[in-house]
Amino acid sequence: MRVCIFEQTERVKAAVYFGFFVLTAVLFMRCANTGMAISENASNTVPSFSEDSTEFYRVQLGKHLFYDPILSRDSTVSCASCHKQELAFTDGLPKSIGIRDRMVTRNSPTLTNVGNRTKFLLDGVNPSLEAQVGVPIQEHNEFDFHILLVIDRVNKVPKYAEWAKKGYGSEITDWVLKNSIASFERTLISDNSPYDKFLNGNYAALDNGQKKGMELFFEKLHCAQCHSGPDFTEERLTNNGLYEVYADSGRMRLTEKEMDRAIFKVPTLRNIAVTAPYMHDGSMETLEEVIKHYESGGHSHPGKGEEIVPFELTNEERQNLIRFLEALTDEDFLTNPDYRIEL
Amino acid sequence: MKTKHLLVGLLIAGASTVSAQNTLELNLNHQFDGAAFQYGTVYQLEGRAVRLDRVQYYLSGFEITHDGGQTTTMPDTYVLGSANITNYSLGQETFTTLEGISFDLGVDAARNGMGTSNWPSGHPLAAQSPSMDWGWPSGYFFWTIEGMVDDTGDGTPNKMFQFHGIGDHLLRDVNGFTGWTLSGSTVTIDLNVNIAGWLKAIDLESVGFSHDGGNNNVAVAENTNPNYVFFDPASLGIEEEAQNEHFIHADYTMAYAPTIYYDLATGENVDIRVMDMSGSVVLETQDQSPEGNYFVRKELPDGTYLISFTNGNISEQFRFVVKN
Ligand code: HEC
Ligand code: HEC
Repeated sequence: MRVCIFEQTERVKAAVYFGFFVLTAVLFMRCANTGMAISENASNTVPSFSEDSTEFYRVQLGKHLFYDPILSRDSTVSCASCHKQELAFTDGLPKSIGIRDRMVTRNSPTLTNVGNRTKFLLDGVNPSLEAQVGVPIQEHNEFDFHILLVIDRVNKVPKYAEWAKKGYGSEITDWVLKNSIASFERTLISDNSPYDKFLNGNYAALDNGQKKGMELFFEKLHCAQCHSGPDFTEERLTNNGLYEVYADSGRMRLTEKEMDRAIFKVPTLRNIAVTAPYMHDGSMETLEEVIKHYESGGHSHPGKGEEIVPFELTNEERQNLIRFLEALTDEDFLTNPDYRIEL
Repeated sequence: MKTKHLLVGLLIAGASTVSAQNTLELNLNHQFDGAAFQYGTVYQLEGRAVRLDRVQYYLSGFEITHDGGQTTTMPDTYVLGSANITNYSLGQETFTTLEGISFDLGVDAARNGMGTSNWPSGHPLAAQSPSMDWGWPSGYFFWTIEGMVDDTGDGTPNKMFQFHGIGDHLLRDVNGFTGWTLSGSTVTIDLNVNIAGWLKAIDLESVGFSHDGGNNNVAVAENTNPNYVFFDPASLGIEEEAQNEHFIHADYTMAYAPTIYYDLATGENVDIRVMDMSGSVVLETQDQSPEGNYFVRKELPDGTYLISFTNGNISEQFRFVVKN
């Protein structure tokens, strides 16, 4: 599932001499030669369901539950409080705030293409999107509630009971609640950023600066060693040297293994320009800060990926890299009315 | 030829016992270093005063030995042990004479990875109140042991501690029990559970909230064997005393929807009723076991409530508070 374009280093390097236009042409031919259609990279399109399918009612139920604060104990907070569409389903805060202004210990991650993930939570300890629904419900700092009382509440809402019946042929149970929300989350597909358009053959979708930034990202720097694949993550579990000593023990909080200390899942970079602040603790406000962090080679940490080594960028190169990351923003995703409910 | 005869013999034996399904029950008699266990009682543990407010734990991986050393596994049997509950059903098995049993403390990795939503309500692995899971796979609490310890030396427990053991690495074989000759259509296995055993040589003052798989919970796991916690009372000649007191205790983990732990001095089922202070019934259920965990599964306004347990012989009331 690696992105095909810059796979063959020698050719890329040779092609650089002919300028970017030639470069892209060569690379596209190479992809075509290997029989891999470029458009496969951005594989998904938003599925559409016929109005009467069970899938339609499952997503409908899940979407409304996602936006409904009755899932939280005092009915003040919904999933959407921390996962807002216009911010690619993040919340713009360093660390999220749940019920009664309690602060969550981590930064809210984007739900862009979350259906493609197999590991959830910033440390990847949770293997299922359904199970992930249960986490905020019970968390003291998020909904601070109990699944059984949530089920009692939602079953009392006539339209939810009706959709559950049409989607699942049953009342709302533990499974129906979790699967319906997960079904909605699986529709959150972003595949129409300028970068995707470029991959699909619209070479003008990226300007020259962005193309140079793209080359830095995939070729010259090691970003794509970790931020790989169509979603810029293949869920590698590693460390990027933010600190020598982390306040958050990362994956170790569950595994209790020293080798998992401060190990996090490589996050997707899709829609990254709208999901500031960055990192598990929201400690970086801008992409410029993030890149300067990588330029420095980061702090030493036993779990740090070996690709994280110091490098130097000119001001212009840094701007190009940022502008490439901005080309991962998918306006259609941020404004798609299917992801909202009418209030 | 010999083997063939043997096979036929086994088949007949098998066929004849299939009709004789036995009901297996497990009695877990909870104790604290020899004293009958009750919530809220102050005990001495290694020179410090200790009080417990919640003790629950999972048992899985049951395997019985029967009829001359044959073993049968019971992969679908799970027990959610609660310190106020003695009687548990292990389901149906086929045997003539039960000779022993072994099991694990915790939930096996396969089921621990499945989450609560796959189980019908009431199943030990379905969502519980108070919760026995973190809300994500690999997230059952193998045990919850919550209470207070005296850290000032005045004999009054004042410092809170909570163990919630999480993670596959905490699963422990409990030493097997053998040498029994139990038979009958219902066979009841009697084991004592010494809750104090789990807490031995742990500095309770520094435990705080150990909701993880870390050192404190590893220490609890390690304390399970040998014979610290689960033991066969018959082997020690201990006789069971008849219970003549009602024990009722409110768990305020969720102060807005408490759970009432109860163990009543009656053998008959009871009707349970929750009333507000004006006497209106807000929740009601009939024909419940005389020991159990009653989840006040209703969103109630702040206030004091009364729970009553009644049958032909007893009528017991207990006051608790709801705080949102
Ligand atoms: C109070 C803010 C808050 C609320 C409310 C909230 N989340 Fe989250 N969400 C977070 C944070 C913070 C994380 C990362 C937590 C961690 O790694 O420990 C997260 C993680 C996730 C993830 C994992 C994403 C990934 O890539 O690993 C999903 C999926 C998710 N949330 C969905 C939901 C759903 C569905 C709801 C409603 C049922 C919800 N969230 C409610 C803040 C919130
Ligand atoms: C060794 C693997 C690795 C390499 C190489 C790497 N990253 Fe990361 N990246 C990570 C991890 C892990 C995180 C999350 C760290 C955290 O939250 O503590 C991350 C986080 C980020 C974030 C913030 C994401 C968010 O949602 O908060 C950005 C932006 C980013 N990386 C960009 C880059 C760029 C640009 C490069 C190349 C210069 C790069 N990364 C190289 C592993 C890597």
